[in-house]
Amino acid sequence: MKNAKQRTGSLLVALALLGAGGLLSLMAGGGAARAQGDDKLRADILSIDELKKFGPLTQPPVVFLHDKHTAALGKQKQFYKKECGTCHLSDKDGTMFLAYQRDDKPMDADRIKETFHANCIGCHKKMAEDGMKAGPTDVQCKGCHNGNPDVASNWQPLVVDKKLHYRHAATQAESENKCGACHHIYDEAAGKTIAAPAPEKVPGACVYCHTESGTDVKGRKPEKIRSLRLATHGECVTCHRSIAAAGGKDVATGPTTCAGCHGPLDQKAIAETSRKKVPADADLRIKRGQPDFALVRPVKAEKPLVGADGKPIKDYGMPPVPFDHKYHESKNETCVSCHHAALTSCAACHTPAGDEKGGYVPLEAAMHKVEALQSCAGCHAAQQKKPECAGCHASMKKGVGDVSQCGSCHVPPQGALEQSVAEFMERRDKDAAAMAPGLAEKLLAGKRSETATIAVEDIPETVTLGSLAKDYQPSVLPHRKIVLSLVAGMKGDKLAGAFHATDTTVCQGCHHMSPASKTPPRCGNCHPAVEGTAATPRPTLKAAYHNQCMNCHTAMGISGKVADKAPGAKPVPKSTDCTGCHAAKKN
Amino acid sequence: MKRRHFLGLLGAAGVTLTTGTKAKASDAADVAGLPNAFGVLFDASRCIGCRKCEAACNTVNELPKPDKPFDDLTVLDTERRTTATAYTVVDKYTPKAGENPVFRKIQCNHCMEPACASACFVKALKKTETGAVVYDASLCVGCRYCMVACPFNIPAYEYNKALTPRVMKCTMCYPRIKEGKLPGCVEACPKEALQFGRRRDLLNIAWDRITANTDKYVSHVYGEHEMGGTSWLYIAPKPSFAALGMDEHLGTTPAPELTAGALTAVPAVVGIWPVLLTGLYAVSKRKDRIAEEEKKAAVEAAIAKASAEAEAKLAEELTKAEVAGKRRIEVEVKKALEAAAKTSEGGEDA
Repeated sequence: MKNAKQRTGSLLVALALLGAGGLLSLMAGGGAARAQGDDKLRADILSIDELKKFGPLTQPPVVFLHDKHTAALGKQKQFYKKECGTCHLSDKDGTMFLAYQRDDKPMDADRIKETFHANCIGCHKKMAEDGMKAGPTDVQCKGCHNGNPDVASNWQPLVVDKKLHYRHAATQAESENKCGACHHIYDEAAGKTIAAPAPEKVPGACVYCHTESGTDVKGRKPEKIRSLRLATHGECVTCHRSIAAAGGKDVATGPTTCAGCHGPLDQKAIAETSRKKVPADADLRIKRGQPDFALVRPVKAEKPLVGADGKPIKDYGMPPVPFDHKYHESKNETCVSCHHAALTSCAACHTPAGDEKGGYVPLEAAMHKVEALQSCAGCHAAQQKKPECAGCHASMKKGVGDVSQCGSCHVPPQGALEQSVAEFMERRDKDAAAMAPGLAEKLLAGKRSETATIAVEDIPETVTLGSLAKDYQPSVLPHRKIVLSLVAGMKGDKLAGAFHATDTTVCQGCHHMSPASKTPPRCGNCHPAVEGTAATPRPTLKAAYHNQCMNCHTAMGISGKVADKAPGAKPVPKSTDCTGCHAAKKN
Repeated sequence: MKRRHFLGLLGAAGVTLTTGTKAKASDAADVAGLPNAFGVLFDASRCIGCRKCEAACNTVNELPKPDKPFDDLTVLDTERRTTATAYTVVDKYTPKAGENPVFRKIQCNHCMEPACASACFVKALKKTETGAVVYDASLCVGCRYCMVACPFNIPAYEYNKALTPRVMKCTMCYPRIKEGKLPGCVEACPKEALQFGRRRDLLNIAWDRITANTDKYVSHVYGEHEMGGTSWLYIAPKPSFAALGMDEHLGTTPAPELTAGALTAVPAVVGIWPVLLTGLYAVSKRKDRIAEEEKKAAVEAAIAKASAEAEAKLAEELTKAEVAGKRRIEVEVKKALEAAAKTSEGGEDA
């Protein structure tokens, strides 16, 4: 535990931690790998293909099973006292390098090849001589360079979700600097990284500094910031091992094997343990002094605007967006879900015009880009892919394409709030920041939190579609049942409630492109009954009916299934089941 | 015959190929552009695999009833191709395991510059002003070069008919179009997965649909440029057209350009067969690999290299040649050209 707190500065991890206790965790790790059930599906597959950066490979990459090797090492107590040191070198301070049998200095292709060949085969040979089971020892390339391995990867990325974060925080609760155990910052004066001294100094997620490929910061010492992979493997695994080493086998600690973190079954086990260990009423919120409510500011004009009549006019286009930060936190597992690059405001990187820092994504797009999961519109669009929502939303415009939805986020201030909002938009100082949460809360107060629709008796019970009936009898649509089951699917969904702003909004799923009303126009008004030879983007009536019904059934995943809970309920007709919707005509 | 004599003849073919006018296939040249031609847009994301189009095609064209009825959807479990009695078939694909299947309708694509028509030396196949590529059985000699030439493997042959076998393929319901009606399959489609109209309008509709749903569709209209463009256009859901069994490497050169030289620039009966066959060979190879273009360039380069030296010798050779000798030359030239083609192919593979 003590070690874990001090472990902050150096490039790689202190190997000094590894003692006899580490051996136990290794053996336990072997058990975890086996517990994956199917040995052919593994999370510990490393592809040794380092030479590919020098050009095309002449041999298939070597499939290396890391857990299998560490487990084998754990069993050979006498022979392998060096443990990790068997494969990984360390520098004079005892810092371990993660690359195999070499330090982090660049090496040419021939030497890398020689390192693997000499050490892998050498070790296998030595073990075989000592009468132990060993890997390939001959000089046949295919023994290791197997292009068709009989194992496949079931590796899953690991996410430190809120529950896991809570559990880690709980184990550090007694320490003097609980956040600093994992979160470190760079200290200019000291010229090295130090433990983050206070919660508000925590830089946020590891990925903010430890990017996927690692970065070099000129003038900083050390210049190199490890990649996320090296940082997490170095820090997490070492800490888990050190706790086990210090406390012996009775101390619960985290996984130390590949499968332990990345195996699907182990991940399930972690989630299960979290469920037991985290009290139901626990506050999972990751606190870093963030506000409960925020007011997102639209872009303001650079110069004061003057109208034709000489009077000053409002110099920002849209009303600000009140944002329930606390509620959104409860709906996301990590801060990275939205704050993907840093825990700063979006505008710090996404300038109005777009900037290199923000990948040239301008502020407007950062909020509205439908393809990006970190943007408001993008995340909301992703929510619409849930089966309960997808029926209506599959064929609807998403994000900024639907301008009728602007007011759902850019809530127009009413009455006294209008003045306050104008004042907020004018001010750029601390006072503005102070007034934002309260103002946002007031603006949000009027929003729906539950989807509702028109009174049940006003919803037609059945609708008969018969204008095209020729080969089949008219189709009788259980209209009311459909509406009510759609509304039931949205029960308790605050997002749906907020955006289905009026009682007739849900009707628009089918009765689209026309004014929302209790008595929407008939489909045939817009969709011609006869298909002509001049192609138009608007479907004809037959296609309009079929598209609307079938696409919805397919998108909701209920095609051919019994969706109704009533006894004796029929399955929802499959697209190709004509008589499921309209009975056959008897001639 | 001596080696340099082959080269001489080879050179003659090369000279006519390279110095001849840049003529396209005669049929294709007649219809280039066809601004008002009709087409059909197939949207694979809308097709539900109901086989109504197959049934309608069967009825409209008065084809024999199939072994299994059209409402038997188990047929879709087997990958099929068009036959002499089924001008269109629907195949099922599952691009992502566990997700809903996607369907593709297969029929004649009615190329803007059809390879079949350019391969047909009796003009039994013709691109019409409506966009449809139609077939006249009374002209057909049954050589089946159209079947070899088609990059989409569409035309089928009535092998079971001893006396009057025909080449069979979708006609885009040419007779119905002339009457102002829709093709049978289009009319029958319950989902408007098939849409009939002016090809240029369909292109606009296709791109509008893609642009409005960039996360859903592959950003490509198949047939807009493939093999110089086809009247039948396809749009498909992600991940790719290849996931629907479609060849994404056909390139954009109209097929006739590969054989046009052969058709228009070599007038003599002596020369036409080997050159035509080489052209057809090129087309069929093209189905496999886009690298064909490189090969063609290599063949041309080889021919051109030999041509200067050979030109004079050809004249000499031709005057010397007796009527009895001509037949022999013909055979030799064919061999030489095949050898040249093989050499260049081999060199490319190496």
